[in-house]
Amino acid sequence: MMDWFIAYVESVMRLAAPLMFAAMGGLISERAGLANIALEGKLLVSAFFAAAVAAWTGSAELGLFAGILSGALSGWIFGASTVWLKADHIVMGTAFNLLVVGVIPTLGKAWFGSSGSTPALGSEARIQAGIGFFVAGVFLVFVLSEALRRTRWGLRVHSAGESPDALLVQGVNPRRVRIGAACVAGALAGAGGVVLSLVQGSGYVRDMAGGRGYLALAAIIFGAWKPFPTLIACLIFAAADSAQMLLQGKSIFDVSVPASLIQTLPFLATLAILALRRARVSAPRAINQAL
Amino acid sequence: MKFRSVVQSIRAGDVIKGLSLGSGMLLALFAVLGLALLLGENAFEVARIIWLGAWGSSTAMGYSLYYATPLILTGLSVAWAMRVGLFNIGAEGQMTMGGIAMVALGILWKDLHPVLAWPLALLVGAVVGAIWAAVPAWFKVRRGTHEVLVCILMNFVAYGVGGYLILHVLRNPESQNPETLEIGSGFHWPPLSWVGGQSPLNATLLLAIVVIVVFAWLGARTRFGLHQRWVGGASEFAARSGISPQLHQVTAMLISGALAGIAGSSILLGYLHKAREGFAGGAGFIGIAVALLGGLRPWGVLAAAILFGGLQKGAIDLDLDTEKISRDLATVMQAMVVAAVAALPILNEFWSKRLDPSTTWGRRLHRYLDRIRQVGAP
Amino acid sequence: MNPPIVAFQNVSKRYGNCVSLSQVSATFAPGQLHAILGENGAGKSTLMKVLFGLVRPDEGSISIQGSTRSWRSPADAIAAGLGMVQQHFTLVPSLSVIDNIMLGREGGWRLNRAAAIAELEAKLPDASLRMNWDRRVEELSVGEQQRVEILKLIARDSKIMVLDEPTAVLVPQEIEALFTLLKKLRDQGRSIFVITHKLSEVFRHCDTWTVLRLGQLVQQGEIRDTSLDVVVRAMMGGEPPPPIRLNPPRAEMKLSELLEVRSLTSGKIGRGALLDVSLKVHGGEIVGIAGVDGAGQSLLVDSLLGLHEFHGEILWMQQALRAGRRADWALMSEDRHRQALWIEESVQMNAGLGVEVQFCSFSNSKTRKTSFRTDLLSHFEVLDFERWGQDVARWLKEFDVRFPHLGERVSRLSGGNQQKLIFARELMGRDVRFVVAHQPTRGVDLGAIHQIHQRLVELRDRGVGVLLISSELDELMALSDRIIVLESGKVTAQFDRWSESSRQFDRAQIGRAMIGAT
Repeated sequence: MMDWFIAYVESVMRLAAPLMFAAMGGLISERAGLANIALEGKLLVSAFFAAAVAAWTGSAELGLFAGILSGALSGWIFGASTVWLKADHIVMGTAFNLLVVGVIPTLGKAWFGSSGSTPALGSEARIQAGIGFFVAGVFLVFVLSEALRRTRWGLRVHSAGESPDALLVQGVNPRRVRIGAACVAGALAGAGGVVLSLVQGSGYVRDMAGGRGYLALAAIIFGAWKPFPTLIACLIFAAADSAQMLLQGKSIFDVSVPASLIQTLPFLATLAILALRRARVSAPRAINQAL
Repeated sequence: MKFRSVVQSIRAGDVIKGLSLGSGMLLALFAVLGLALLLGENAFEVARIIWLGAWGSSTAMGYSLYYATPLILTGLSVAWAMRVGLFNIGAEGQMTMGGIAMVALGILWKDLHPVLAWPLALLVGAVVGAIWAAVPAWFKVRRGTHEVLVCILMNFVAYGVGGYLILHVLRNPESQNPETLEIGSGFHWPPLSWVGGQSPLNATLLLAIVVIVVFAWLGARTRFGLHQRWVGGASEFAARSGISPQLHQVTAMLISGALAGIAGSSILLGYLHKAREGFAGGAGFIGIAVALLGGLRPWGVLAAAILFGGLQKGAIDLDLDTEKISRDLATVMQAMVVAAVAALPILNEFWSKRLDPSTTWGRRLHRYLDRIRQVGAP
Repeated sequence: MNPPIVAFQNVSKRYGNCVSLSQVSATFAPGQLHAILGENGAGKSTLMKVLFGLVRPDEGSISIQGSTRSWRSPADAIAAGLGMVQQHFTLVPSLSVIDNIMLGREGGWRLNRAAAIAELEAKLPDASLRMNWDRRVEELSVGEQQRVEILKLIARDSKIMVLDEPTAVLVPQEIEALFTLLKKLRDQGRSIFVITHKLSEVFRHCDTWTVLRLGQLVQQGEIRDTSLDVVVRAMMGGEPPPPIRLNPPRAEMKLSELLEVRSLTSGKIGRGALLDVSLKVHGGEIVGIAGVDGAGQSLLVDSLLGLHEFHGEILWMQQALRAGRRADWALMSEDRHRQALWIEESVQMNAGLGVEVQFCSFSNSKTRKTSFRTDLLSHFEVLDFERWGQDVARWLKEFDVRFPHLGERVSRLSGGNQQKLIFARELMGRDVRFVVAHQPTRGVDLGAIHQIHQRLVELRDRGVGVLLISSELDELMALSDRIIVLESGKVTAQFDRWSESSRQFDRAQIGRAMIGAT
């Protein structure tokens, strides 16, 4: 029983890591006023590039670096195009996610001859971190929470999300603050993507984010755009996710539950949690407003 | 006479709008062909393959229209909700659940006469689609959660539940494929072979066109349609005139869900006569691009759906006829279209500045429009 | 004479077809309090935004202390010693006072709030400006928020300060205090620009005046050698309209009680909530609601319209009011662009929305106007857009609304024409017995203000009840039969124009009641 429990907790920690990175990235960009439905796409992009570079070079470190860099770059592309084109963030995010769904298989076919995935990685090109990424994620939450409260960057990010005009008349360009936040958000989501393809998996598989970007977004909403409550929401989702994994192929009270039904568990848990509280009250005031 | 009055009512603003949309689409097209070029394909060859694949023969055209049929309905579904200020990104899930419900009815009630079977199947699909859409509507109105998030979560739930129903409850035990039993013949819609040759094009295309006509009328001419758009355009004003924005938003979401719910009819009732896992094939998401490209208007949706149906058909040929690129290029194209529509405000600004009455071209445009107004059609 | 601190040379700015500024040239002497005057839409805000780098002029240039400058963004203007307080405050409501003041000049990547407070307090010209630096801005009153905005400029050592309509949100006593502070800052050697349209305060406090009209500079001068008449004529471009006269009410009017509000409580405790408010409106009277912004006026309107939950009773003709707006009420909402117009739509659409049942195919407008059908079927009747166009064209003509054609977007109309369009829709499309006019003349030019005031008085004389909510005390005192003062959601005083007693209108008393000082 104890063994089972420890295995479960460890699995929750493993599954929580990508969710936490994505959620913290999303939290930064949303606090800066940039609604970030594109998290899912960023997870996929960075997972793909991390796996691609790791496959070419055989080096896990270079893969990690490529994943984070591609995340930051796609964060910049999303942030800059949304801000400069004065586009609706949700529509632009949808476009970004669609773009990723189309571009990755196209690149995959051109580079590896397979539109679905990258070649399987050997153990030297993967990262053996255990729960290292989870620990790093918790540390990140602490740092982020302090940074938002006590640094110039935090003050400006908060203002860009609440009242961009206040920044403008104080001589700070809120567009730059938002785009900067989008880059940081992309880099963090990128770290999450690396966990997916180099830590948990061995290479990129089609749609490997499996909705985690959206779960991260739900965690931010449930966490009222604050780091620690968001972390807790991520843990709850990860708990549902790893329960789902444990239950697959097992039977409860002698009734075997089919995999496809079990897979909906994290999403149902998310819906149940969202139903518990009103969302709009604590959202940043200027979210999804053009500058 | 009607044409003349339409032409006379064209104003500089309409010209600018048209130019913005046109230039946005061109940019999207260039971006996609540029990507093909970057990957080492001849961009013109790619465009030619897509074009011939889509419209090169009557069978190809039939396939294009067959792919367009669900897009007409999902596009209208997304467009209608968006005009009321809601982003229904959950059409995929609503289509999946509505489609399975239609097939389930057809399996359970095998010997129903077409006179009853056709409307009943559509009704069941619509109701189930609307129920799936009611969840985000409830979250929006009661909890203030953004409908996009809840819609996406509901999509994932629909994949799971739909997969379960297809693989376990309705499964055809004799088939190797993950598919359901056949529906009764009373539920079949006839093929439209006089248009589509050997393609699976079927009579549900006509159904979709009728739906477009009905909703075009509803939206433009009736008080209900006006109120729906009013809530989308100026909800506080509407509320202060005694209209309930919440009620209208819920209604719009239910309508949207119902439209998506019957979007699978072309695939399920008209062609396969059974359901396969993942039959929706992203039509719900492509519906977003269709709705945006169609300017959220029913007739525009019809045109955009046909365009995208052709794109989807043409892109399939890329898998075979090119070395390096695949049908996924169609998805890239859709993404770029959505991005271009999202960028319309800035394109509008650009063209307004270029065609400002103080510039040479602006002066010419205004002079030309004035002349049209005076003499009627040019 | 010193070189001018600020000079504009041929500054022009156009937005699409609208000329906002045309060839404005003006100079301003240092160390003075300058009043920038003009009607709404005269271009005074735009001119000052050009000075502050928020708006880029199409042509022309600015020079500061004799040297020509051009700004890429407000950051450049700030570096050159400028500061501006916008009409709509640019504060971050969820941050503390000190965080708002530090924003943009944090001094290092780590925030050192104690040092920022010490630095600021050393710069204060006056100990009375101190406040609780850790309070969140959203908890402050409007007057205090304005003080934070001015403190932002003081902390930055702005040499040139611009204040856009700073007195619009203040009560008379606060206005005096504001100008005392501004004069103190001027005496420290700063140059201060105040945009306003209230002439009385200009003549009491300012040094020079500059009038803009239709984007052009009309006249400049020193206050001490100018009379009020000259300035008024410069602003209007002609003679001002005669003041509105209110006839004493006829005796029989008093009998018909239309609306009664009994101990209405609504909203969360805090800014904007209502606490135990009772009032009555009779047919044939204008009841004015006075109060600073956020004293509960918006919730009062929302409660009447059934848009917000409340405790207490609202009676219409002695019967409990069912939730929702009545068809025989006319409503002029506070935020015209969001609450009374569909801003992307056409003039025709906006002039008929909300009263469009009468344009349904199976109706004649006479019966429809008195009984608004709301049954299910009426929603699926076909609209007759031709009749819609003809009818609203008549209404708009009646109300003197100027527009190029019915298909023009309503956003292209001036504020005054938009408000007249709303009046036309609300009064011609309905059989009106009661009017709620919430800030009916905000952002409207003087000519339109006069027409709107006349309409309200006409309605009153016809026996219609009018609830007039305004933050312009002059407007309330000119039009109201009775004035009820709201302060922090409570009724603090009532005044009656026609009473013999001490409850007659008195500006100072009303002003004191508005800020809760008795």
